Amino acid sequence: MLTGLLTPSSGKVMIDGLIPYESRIENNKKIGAVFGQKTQLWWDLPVIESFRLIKKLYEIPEGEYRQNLKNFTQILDLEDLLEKQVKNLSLGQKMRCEIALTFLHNPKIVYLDEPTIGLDVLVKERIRQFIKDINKQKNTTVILTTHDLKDIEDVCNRIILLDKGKIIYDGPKDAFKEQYGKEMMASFKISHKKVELIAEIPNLEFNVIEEDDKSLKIQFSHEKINIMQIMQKLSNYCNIDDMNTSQPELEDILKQIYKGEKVC
Amino acid sequence: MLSKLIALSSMHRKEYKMYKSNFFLFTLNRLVEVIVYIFVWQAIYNETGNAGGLSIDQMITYYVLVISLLPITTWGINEDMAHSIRNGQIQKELLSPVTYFQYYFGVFIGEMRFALIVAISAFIICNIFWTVILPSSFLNFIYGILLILLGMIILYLTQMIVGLIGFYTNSIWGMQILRKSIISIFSGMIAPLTLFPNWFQQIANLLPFKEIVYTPVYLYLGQVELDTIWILIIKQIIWIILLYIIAKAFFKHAVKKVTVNGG
Repeated sequence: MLTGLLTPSSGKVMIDGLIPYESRIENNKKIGAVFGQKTQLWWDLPVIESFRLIKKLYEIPEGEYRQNLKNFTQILDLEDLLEKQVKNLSLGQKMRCEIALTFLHNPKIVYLDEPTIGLDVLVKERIRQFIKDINKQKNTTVILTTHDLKDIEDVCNRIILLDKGKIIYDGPKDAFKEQYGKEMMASFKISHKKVELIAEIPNLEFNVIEEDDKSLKIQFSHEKINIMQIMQKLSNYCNIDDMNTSQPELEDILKQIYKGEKVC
Repeated sequence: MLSKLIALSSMHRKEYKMYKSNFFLFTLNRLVEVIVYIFVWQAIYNETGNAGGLSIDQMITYYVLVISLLPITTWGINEDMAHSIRNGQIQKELLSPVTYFQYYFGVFIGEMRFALIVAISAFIICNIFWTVILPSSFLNFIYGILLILLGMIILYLTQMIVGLIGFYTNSIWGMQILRKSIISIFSGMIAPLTLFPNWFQQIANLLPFKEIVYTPVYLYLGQVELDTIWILIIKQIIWIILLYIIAKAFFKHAVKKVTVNGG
């Protein structure tokens, strides 16, 4: 709908001063879009043919085209792929070409719909790097939807969280983490345990998530208690052999939000 | 604009080039069809001494030309449009910096470039097997070409209209068959239109399809009076304007119905 492909049944969309489903062509010249499961490449032809067509269609000046092509080829490692037929490429190879193609005409806004879906770690890494580079060099706005939270963690500055069609969060990524990620996790290796913490000790200032004879996992908030105090408390009940604290990952926070444990 | 259309058409032509065997099979297919028609008419001629008001040589030439022209009249962009809609690939066309009509006009030109090569090859090969008469005059030949060119635009527009139905139904296979048969019958591809009943000929006179095959071929054979040709050209231009308006209005409505299949 943002790209103008679909017409909204109610309401209005405005992108950079244009209504995308009305001024299609004007809008199309300014944007680029990758849909994870679709392709803009010509299936039967070598990749480079699709690139040349885009050059013609968007009237990209020769110099700019060359420079972009060289630049993209390098970052995304396309050297060996350009002369191959699209149908012979693997998913990851195709996606790399696809993304290069989308950025070829220096669009102002790029929509990436699950660009890393089903790709291996190395390709994902490359694509993230590419997006970051282009964003820095050319100031392209990139709107990314994804199921892979590493994508967000790596690439994004601003997060918009949707649940059942409603915006439930809209703000910078770091603020998001601060707001919902105050809770820290800590895990301990213990021995000589004297009591069952969950069953026998009420009023602990932290939550025990898992416990058995050898290990302990807890969650706590910095506002209430710090790690030294926790260790002091724990040492009353057992010996601590080793410990390890971690900030919650975006993934953990989101899981909680969508499970309804946290209310925005 | 022109360079964009040429770029698009070249892409489509290169797609065909990737599968070289297709070219030979398509051309061979033309030959087989011609043989069937010619055998039937030779049998009729031998029985009755008459081949639908034409001499047997003229009738052979009629079918050689008609079947050679067949790629131009029946091939087109409907398969590509339908494929794109059904697979939810339509964003490729709709998000491109040229309009949907321009995009497919480019593809259509590419299709015609390939169709023309098949048509000419088939015609040349037929010349080896049968005596094909030369065009009755150079002027007739030029008028014939002009009518075919106008006809191509009409074919493009009808294909766009049929293709747009796919925006609503997601499948246009049936419509496409219908389009092909209507054009085959009314353009005189099955048999010369003079052999059909009067009421049928009157309908054919109104529709634009007759001027894509039947009239150019009859021009070639010298069976059309050149004085009346202007009326036919004007008729075709009116049809082009009419179909263009219909197609555009249709698109405006259809594009709101776009659904993106598959994610």
